[in-house]
Amino acid sequence: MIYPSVDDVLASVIDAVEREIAPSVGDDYAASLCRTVAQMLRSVRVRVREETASLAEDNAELRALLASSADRLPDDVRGVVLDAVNRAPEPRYPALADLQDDAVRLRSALVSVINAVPDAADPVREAVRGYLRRQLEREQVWQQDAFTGPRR
Amino acid sequence: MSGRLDDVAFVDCWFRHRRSLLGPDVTGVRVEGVRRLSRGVSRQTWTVAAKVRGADGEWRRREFIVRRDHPAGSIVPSTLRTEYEIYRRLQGTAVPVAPVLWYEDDPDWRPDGRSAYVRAKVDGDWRLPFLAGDAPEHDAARIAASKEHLDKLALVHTLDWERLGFGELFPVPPSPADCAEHLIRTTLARLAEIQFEPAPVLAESVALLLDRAPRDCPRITLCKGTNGHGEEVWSGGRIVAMSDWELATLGDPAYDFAQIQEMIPEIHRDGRRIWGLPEALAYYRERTGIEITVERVEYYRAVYGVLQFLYAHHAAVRVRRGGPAPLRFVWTAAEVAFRSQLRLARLFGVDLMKEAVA
Repeated sequence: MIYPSVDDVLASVIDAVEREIAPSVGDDYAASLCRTVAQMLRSVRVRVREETASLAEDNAELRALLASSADRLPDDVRGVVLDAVNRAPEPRYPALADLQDDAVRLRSALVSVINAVPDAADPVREAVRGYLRRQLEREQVWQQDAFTGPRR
Repeated sequence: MSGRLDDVAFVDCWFRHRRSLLGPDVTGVRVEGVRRLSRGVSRQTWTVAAKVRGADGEWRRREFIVRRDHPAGSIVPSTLRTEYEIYRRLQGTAVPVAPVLWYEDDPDWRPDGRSAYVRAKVDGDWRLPFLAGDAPEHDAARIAASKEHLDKLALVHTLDWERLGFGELFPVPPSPADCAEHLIRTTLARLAEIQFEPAPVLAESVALLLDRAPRDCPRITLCKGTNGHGEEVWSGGRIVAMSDWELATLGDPAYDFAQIQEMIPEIHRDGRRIWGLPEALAYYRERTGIEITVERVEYYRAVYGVLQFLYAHHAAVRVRRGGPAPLRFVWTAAEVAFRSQLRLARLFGVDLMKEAVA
């Protein structure tokens, strides 16, 4: 499942800590920790959303700065600087929001395929089931394996 | 007058206003406490502790249950009103249920501005500790409790649901043979009203389920839905109230056997099974004359994944609406939705489920 997103989950956890848990906490230290938890989660929420783009932008700016100043540096420093500048990681994945939109389009198309091929033994349907297995295996890491105890 | 459900003074006024609905002999009521129970997920359940004066002038302690949706609505797609109407229709039948007292939809009296209904609290316990483990000394108690549960399911399944008006609450399958397909199609129709994210696992599984839909259901019955340990109130070895009717429907009684929680223990002694699903089905058949096969029960266990997907997605709709959603809604929309897909994926040989219970 694409939704709820990490942002949805974190917003709800913050709300539960502040509106439902903290008011019932009698111990001063535990109440103080509730405030710390909520504020840290606010930071995590924004960081999850912003960090990739922010760091990419930051690295690009810094790379340009270092590259433009390399000619004016002593040889030993220039070597270190150019080594860092030239080791830019390959851009690997699109932004998460774009991937999620892509997944919704592709999965919607897959539903159409399933509905258009009524014979469950058809090789297309067999291939679909193979894909679905792998999709569930990929997702179970956070949707199942990450949970470790009673939920309520 | 309006007020909050956690405000004892308001609830006291509310119950005094509705005193005539608390019972024919009730001449006075004083509310002493209100408490929210933590166990329920789909809706809120509160207890109201009160003293009630009878016709003899004596004050006696009584407890009541208030049920209502969360501020964000309910996790299950059925309405609070439907839940109330199920209880109302079961009053006076052989099926043990808590007496339902009134449905509050007067804007002047709805606590927190939300509709609620009130029922009497039935004394008893939902826990049966002897069900856990495999100790031989508990065999007799476990089998007796299992039979008691089957007896009560038999009462549900042999009710004259048409006369009681359940056909006005739930879609009626065209025939017993159509029960399975009808349940799937009505669930999908409800899902189509709210679905915002494609679900290929559901699509593949539904195609397989429709291909394999059994047509040997002998009769359409009222079905309770979720049932078994944790859902009914027990006292003195008997079920004194059947609770949690949120997934009730009209259909194949095998639907209920697929949703029984822990009440049909598999007991093996000296290399022989002395109790389990086949024995339970035979016991049930003797009481009802209704034939349910193990195959149909297994089929409906898979179908439950479709129902689970629907209610998890119903919770997800609220999450998607914006603003912080209640945490239990988010959990349902995430883990429970995923588990519904794991359950369905078993239909095509993918078994990734690592825990029995979320």
